[in-house]
Amino acid sequence: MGESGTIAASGSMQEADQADQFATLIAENWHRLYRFAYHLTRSREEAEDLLQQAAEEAFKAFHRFRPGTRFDRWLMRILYTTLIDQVRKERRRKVFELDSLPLSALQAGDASDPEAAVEGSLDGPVRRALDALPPEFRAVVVLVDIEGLSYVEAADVLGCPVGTVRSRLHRGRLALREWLRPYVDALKRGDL
Amino acid sequence: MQEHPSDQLTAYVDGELTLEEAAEVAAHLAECAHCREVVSDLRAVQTLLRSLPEPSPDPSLLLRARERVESVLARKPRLSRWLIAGAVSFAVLTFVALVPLSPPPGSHEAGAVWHFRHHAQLASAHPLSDVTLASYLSSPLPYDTLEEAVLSRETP
Repeated sequence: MGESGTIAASGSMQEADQADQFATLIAENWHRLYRFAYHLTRSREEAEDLLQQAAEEAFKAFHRFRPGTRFDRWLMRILYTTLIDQVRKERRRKVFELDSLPLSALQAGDASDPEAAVEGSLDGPVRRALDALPPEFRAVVVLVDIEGLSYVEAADVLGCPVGTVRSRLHRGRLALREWLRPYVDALKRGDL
Repeated sequence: MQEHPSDQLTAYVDGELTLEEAAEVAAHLAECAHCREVVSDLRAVQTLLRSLPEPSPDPSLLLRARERVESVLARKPRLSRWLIAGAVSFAVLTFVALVPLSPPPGSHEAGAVWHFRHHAQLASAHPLSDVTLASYLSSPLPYDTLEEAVLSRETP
């Protein structure tokens, strides 16, 4: 009885140590992880749900985290897979093939308002265009263009080959170029 | 003119090509206005994306996430204690049900054979249980002798 009590106590101490270690790592990377979650989802609420869900998943799998490797990348991967699982399970959003995306519908929105472009109110249109990308494409664009990861690093986070990162990134950027055409042109003219 | 390099243009913009590949793309760009336009557009898209404001999390979010993680920790030991308690109760009840406490009367050999048959019964019902192994190891006669004795009695 005494012996099993000792084992249980040392087991819970170990778990408490792990929880502290996890809490420290997650706090150190919090802003970066939130930014990734925010750009992957459509709203602040969705980002918060996703990040909390991913933090729980990560804690359950924390024994598989290899010390000395980057915790933020490891958690970003869990964030991404959690999102993809949610999208597939809940079918909240239909995952379109990029070729079948309704480009004309998007262009009809304020993304095509050159006046707004000149006035510099870019956040809404850029954010909406990013949101319109399928999650697999959006994740690559966010990782490389916003987070500044290399292709190899992005492939590691997404669990896919580097060639896939390159082709998704190219197609994602071309779609964004079409949706944000007035802003792209204004920027090239030096009007932004 | 050679074929347009397509996604190599994206890799070119990001500096993700080898020197040789980058030189090939640069040579193509010198001759191809269409691809120069694409490269310029891709850079503009990149600039637009990087202009997005930095989102900042709600100050309470980290605390909420921590509470959620701690609730996982609180759930875990309770569950495992119940599982251990359940498994031990099952093992004890099974043992009591299958093996009577007092050995049957008779010779030393008959007693050993009796134990062996009950152990074999228990082992076939619970092939991986520690009880089976312990019973076999504590048997007073070698396995071959027991097996022979059981077979000789059961064979008509």
